[in-house]
Amino acid sequence: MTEVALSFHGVSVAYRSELVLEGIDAAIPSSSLCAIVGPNGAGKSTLIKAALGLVPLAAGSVSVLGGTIASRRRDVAYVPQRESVDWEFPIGALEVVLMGAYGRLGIFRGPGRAERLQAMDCLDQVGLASFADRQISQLSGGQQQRVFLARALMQGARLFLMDEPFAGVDAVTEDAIMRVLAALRGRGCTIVAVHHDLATVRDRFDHVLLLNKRLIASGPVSTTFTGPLLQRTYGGRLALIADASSGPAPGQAGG
Amino acid sequence: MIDPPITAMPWFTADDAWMLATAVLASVSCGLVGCWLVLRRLSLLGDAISHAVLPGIAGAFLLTGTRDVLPMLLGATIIGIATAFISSALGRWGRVDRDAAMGVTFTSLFALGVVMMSLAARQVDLDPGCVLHGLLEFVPFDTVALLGVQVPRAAAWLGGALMVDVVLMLAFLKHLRATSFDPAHAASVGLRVSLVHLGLMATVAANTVVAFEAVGSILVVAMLVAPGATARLWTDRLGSMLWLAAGIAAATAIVGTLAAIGFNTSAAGMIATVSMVGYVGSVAAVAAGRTVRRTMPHASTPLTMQQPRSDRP
Repeated sequence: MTEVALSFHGVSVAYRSELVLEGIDAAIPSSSLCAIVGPNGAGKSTLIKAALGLVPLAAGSVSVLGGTIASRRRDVAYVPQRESVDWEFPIGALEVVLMGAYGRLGIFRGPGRAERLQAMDCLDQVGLASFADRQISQLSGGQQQRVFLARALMQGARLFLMDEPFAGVDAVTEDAIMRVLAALRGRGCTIVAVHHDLATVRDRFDHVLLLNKRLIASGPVSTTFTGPLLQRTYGGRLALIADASSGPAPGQAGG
Repeated sequence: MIDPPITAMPWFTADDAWMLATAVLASVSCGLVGCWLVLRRLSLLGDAISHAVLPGIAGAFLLTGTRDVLPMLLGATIIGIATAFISSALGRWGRVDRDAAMGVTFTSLFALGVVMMSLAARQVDLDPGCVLHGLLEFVPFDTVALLGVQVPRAAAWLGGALMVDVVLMLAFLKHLRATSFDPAHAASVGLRVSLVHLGLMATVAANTVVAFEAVGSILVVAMLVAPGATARLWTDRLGSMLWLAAGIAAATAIVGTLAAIGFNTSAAGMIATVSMVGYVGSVAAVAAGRTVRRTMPHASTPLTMQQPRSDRP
């Protein structure tokens, strides 16, 4: 039995009357690690925002954990792109993690002692317990990304939507993040991440969604992350792609 | 009002004390709200709103024929929200960038306000210059009875505004912090990002109106932006920044008002000048501190903790 965590039904999104996503139909199974792959301007971030209800749909609908996003908000954690964050804002790592609790706190309630303890635990899970008081601007790119992962953990979600969680991250941090994500999947969570590094898709993910304004393909990495489909996704820029799709397991390319 | 000297200093009268109190209340309430404009990089929008509320104020004059604060407050708050709304709508659909949209919105509203003001001045005893630059010096002559004490009307309104500001800020600290730092995430957990924005803009507009009698609608910008911008230079903590901004706002108001009394010049102008000196001085001091620490790493206690970046905990 494969349950579906996130599904798009004929989803189109327009910015200023220009379609950036056209008729997306895709289903992402539960307990999977899914990469959204495609060239710049393919609408990858927009697809995630559409799932979260952060951009209006021109057509179609999205089903999140079997319901609407409005009814499932507390079960969904979002890690936005680095650009959406004000890195100069005066805030420490622990305070950022505490923001993961804001959605479930009452309107006038701030985080209390219980939330602080939980936030410390989340920082510990990403290996940053000793950085709780550090200003966010004084952390490295990799540490910042791990703080955001901790904030997502704080939300206690079942579906994680991450926009380039590995941007500006060194290999050590990437491994650390992957370990946390794999543990989450082990607990039945679903992780959907916009991913840029084609060379690591095969190692890190089990499901892939190839996107270029339209859906090119969606399915298990072994059958979907293939040369011909990547060519269709990326158009002409091929040299790099041929490498990536056959990378660690050449036999599977084109399969 | 008769003003006998209340201290050993014959030049400092009860009226002067009320001027001082009014200036401090205006400065602190604007300074606290302004911190959020500084943090959200919306200082220019604060400027825009403080100009754009003019037609709201003038409209209230024209409609009611009085200088009551309440209609002005209402008119200006509506216009303030409209400014935030129009400039973001123009930015989105007018195919111009945000700065241009804001510039167009607030200059045209300000122009409309100036025209309306000169019309209103025929009906009401109203000096357009007073609206633009404020007349802190006249504040003590217009009093209301508050708990049996004659209090300047402006001081009573500003005291109320300060209390409302503090209550709102404490109640919505979570919302302000989350939507300023990471609006996309705030929206994803269900916080109403644009409602918080409009609420902040309405608060800025209301504060501007309450303060404009004391400092005028132009110099109020200095009160909105300078304390927060100066405080931000000295600290990396939100809580410290808000406290420090309130302290800086009070200090500039006191120094500026006393200097104005001493030199017999415009209090609003003096306060704005003092706040500018404070800001420039802080920039220089923080920069100098950084240089000292760089050249002599062990010579002083760092103001902000600068540690080498490392990826390992």
